[in-house]
Amino acid sequence: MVPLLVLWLAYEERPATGTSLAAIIAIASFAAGIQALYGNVKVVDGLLVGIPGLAGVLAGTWLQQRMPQRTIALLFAAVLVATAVQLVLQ
Amino acid sequence: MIGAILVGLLGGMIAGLLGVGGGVVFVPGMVLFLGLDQHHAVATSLLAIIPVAILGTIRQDRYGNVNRHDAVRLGALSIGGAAAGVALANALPGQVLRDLFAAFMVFVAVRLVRESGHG
Repeated sequence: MVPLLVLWLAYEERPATGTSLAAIIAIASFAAGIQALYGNVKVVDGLLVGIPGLAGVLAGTWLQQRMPQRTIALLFAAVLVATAVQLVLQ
Repeated sequence: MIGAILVGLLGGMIAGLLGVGGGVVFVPGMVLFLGLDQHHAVATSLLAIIPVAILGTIRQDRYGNVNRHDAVRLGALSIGGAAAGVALANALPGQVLRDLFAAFMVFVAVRLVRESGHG
């Protein structure tokens, strides 16, 4: 969603990441609900990762405000390429 | 336990930095440290993403970085897109789908690097 906002709607990186996170609330809630209906969600494990994730996201958003937008784009591209490599090797 | 906490911290950090859910770290982390299979890890990471995305959005909104109108439109489109994705995933062999998606991600990465703002 971040590339979509940056490349199609001419967003800068910071507003793109903020708006993407907001959209993810809806998408993850919907998808988690469906997965829960199938009995695939391990609630305790989810909390075990999600609660420390709160501290992580605080640090991440704080750091992001102090970073050039170009750096955010480069980091994002690096994560995309790493994920692509992982997908092909899988 | 400590592994799960580190996975949460790192995934949350990436979510805050890059505006993604954190699943890119949560899913492999849950497989590795909590012994979940891929299927349950994907489902469970969605639960972990919800509070992370909520808190990240609150913080970003305070910095003026959330366009609510576009966020609602994106959310609605993505939920529709997810249904189409499931249909596509069932129609194509897994490896073909993964290779296509990987190629698309590299293409997007190149465009991001070339066209992103220099601010």
